[in-house]
Amino acid sequence: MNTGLLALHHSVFTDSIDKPDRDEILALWSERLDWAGVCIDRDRYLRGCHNSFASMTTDLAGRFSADGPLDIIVIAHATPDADARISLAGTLAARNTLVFAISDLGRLAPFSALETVRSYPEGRGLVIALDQGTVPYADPQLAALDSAADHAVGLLLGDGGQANLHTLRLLTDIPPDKVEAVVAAELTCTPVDLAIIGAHVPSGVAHLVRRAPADQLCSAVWSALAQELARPDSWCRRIAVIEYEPALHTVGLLHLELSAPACARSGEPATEVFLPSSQADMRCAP
Amino acid sequence: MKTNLLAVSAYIPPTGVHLETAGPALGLSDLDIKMFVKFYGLRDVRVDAGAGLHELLVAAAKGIGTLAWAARRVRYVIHARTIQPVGPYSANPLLEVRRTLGLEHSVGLAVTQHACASGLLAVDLAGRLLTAHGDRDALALVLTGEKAYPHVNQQMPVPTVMGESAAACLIGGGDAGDRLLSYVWHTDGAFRASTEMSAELRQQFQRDYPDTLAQVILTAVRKAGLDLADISMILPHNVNRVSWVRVAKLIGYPVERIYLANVPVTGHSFCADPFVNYACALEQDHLAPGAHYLMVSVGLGAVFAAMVFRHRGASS
Repeated sequence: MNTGLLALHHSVFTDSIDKPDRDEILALWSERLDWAGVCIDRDRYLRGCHNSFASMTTDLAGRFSADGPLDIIVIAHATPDADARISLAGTLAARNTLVFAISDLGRLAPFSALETVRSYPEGRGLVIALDQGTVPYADPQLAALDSAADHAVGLLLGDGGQANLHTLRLLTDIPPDKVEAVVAAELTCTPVDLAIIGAHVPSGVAHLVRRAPADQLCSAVWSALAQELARPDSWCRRIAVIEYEPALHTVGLLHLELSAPACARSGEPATEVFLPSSQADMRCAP
Repeated sequence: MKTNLLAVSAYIPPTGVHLETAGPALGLSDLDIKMFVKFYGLRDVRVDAGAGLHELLVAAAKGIGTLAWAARRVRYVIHARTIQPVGPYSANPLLEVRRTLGLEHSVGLAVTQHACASGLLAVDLAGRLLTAHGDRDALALVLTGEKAYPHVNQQMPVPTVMGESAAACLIGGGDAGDRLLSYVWHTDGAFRASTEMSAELRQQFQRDYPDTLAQVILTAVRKAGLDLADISMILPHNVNRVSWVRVAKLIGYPVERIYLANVPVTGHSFCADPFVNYACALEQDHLAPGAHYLMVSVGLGAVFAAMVFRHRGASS
């Protein structure tokens, strides 16, 4: 089971120069919205950045495959692809790399993707959490979504590394008013130095919390984790990453243990963190 | 890791529509329809115009008689889909399915990007997740089936017609049920543009298709420690009959042992075909206890996949 977190990278994508055939994509959406009584909002669609999952995942996978082949890539997303016509498995196809996507879990898709990669016992796995805001309809649950930029966070897992994914849990059937108590109880059993919490997680769950950006869904807590690990003065070694999806009444919780400081380079628009191991080379910024 | 198919249930919409009636709305010309029927072995398509995705999946799942009894043990509900978006973000049919089936305590997720081969991927993934979860009694429910919107048929780059049959599979990790012996997939990135492939690429895909699928099938059989002669039946996707005749000839397998009875009845039901065909084959006593069989599917993009199982007997 892959339990080592070897590296993270958060990329921010602004307006894409590659805008796909809008009419055809809108026609596809029209059929898929009709049953729910939702109409196409063409203006909203045209305002989006139009970064396809194919372009975003190609960028991320390229960064992580330089040091060796990836055995599995799991893409986690909540909002749909800006161009769902392009196969991600085909786009990222390489010899013996299994590629697929997990969705319909809202903000928690990356937790399930991490659980999935850990269930494949050998080699190196990459989870890519994606948020893109080119959505051709108005939706109350997407009202806060960043429409000025799209986000992708890659988490590279493998043997070794000095960051261990200690506990990974999806807790179901948790109504919003029970989240604080349930999470606090979990953190009592496994104390942490810092809790990185999503937009719907009460800040009272831990003594020290870092709030993830509210305008991201899947990538929110992971981009906050990348930023935290990139801090040169970060002293936290036991970190909990906690997200709550109110629509599903489900909590995602990850305990991360670092045995050495991360190496990082941080700057706009990307944050990159490497967690050194005895085997890995040190690609830290000077 | 043990992955077992404990029960499979299919929902086939009760009324078939002949392509002569359904074809024009799907963008098929009269010539297309004649070709589809006379050459490709297609004829009817099953759709349930009154049912949403949620109803299709629930209808399939309710056919598993033991599901209500075993509901508390279901840890994962996985919807394997050909096409990821199914509606607006706030409307989550999978959540509705879990509520209707009393499975709110389970983790629901969709698996995509292997297109119509995502169903086989989901079965393998379910077994892995159950193993990693560590509870020997835990179960996973894999759901397949989608709405066949006209746009899907109009953009389909291969000769087939999409239907709305659905299937539900209960997966467990113990010793009961049909044991998964091997799972093999192959991705050819040259065809990643799927519905956007150029005419040349579409032709190339159709030229390469039989050879690639044959190799995947033979590799899956070999990985299971078997010979093709040990495989009593292939439960295919229902894209069309002609492609299977070509593959059968390539691998030297009797086409009569490929379950093609549903091709002219249901059409191609996204990820559901191998499971729908399993349910039908079982009902018709085509699978003897201990028999080895293959489930095979191909997804645009392009992913070729095959699984070998050993049948243990009764399906539930």
